[in-house]
Amino acid sequence: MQPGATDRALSTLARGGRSIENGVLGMAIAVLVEVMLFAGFISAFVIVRAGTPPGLWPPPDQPRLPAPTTAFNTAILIASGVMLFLAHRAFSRRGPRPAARRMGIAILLGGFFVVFQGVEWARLLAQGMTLTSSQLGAFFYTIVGAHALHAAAAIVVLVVHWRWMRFGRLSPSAFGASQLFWYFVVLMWPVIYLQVYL
Amino acid sequence: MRLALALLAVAASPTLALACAVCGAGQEQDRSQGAFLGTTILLSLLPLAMVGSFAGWLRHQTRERRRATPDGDEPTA
Repeated sequence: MQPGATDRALSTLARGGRSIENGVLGMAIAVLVEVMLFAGFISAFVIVRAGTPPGLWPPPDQPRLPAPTTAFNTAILIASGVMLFLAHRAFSRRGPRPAARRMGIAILLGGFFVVFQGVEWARLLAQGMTLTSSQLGAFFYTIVGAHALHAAAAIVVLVVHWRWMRFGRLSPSAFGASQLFWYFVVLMWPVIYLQVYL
Repeated sequence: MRLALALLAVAASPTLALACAVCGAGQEQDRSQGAFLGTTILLSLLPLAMVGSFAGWLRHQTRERRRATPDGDEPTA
């Protein structure tokens, strides 16, 4: 039997001729695990919401989640992902300098997203929605908080890589890994928004 | 014609008739069962889909590399 392309890919990896950079492979495995974490969170949320009597979700005594303003913030985060993709293209075609500018914009947009989320959290806390005030509050702060933690960590990584890029020390492997992490943060958010906010 | 239209209207807009105060009690259970079923399917298929997509992408990468090296030799790291 002829070996398949996947077998060849694995044997290529085994012989040291890389089909995928080590950094990207490690990050891909981490992202797969993180996707399952969020899938578990969202599944639990969906089951609890479905078990609530009709008309009692969201809980009447709790503030409404700011869906319209968060939609705007979602657009900002997606723009950040697009900007990082443009940075990737510039990095591979035109070198680090034009890529660093686009990556800087992506970081600023990502930072805006996290700060905006923080402001929304402060507003909700002031209105009485806390981690223990209701099931909605518990799920909201757990799911959105876990995402915010990932976003903040990814921004720190992107800032470090942005500095490396400016000094010409960023390897394609490291850039690929940080990109993958940020794309995960960007693409996970619309799913969370659709399930939790709407 | 009127009878046909009336029958069509009845057939096209069925609604659940709840005859007593507790008749709706089972609806939450149905929704819960649906949620359990949906999330079970999601959590079962998602890892397979992700690993399958990753294997497919790896395969695509390998083909691209082979195309880039026409003599078929594996490029060294």
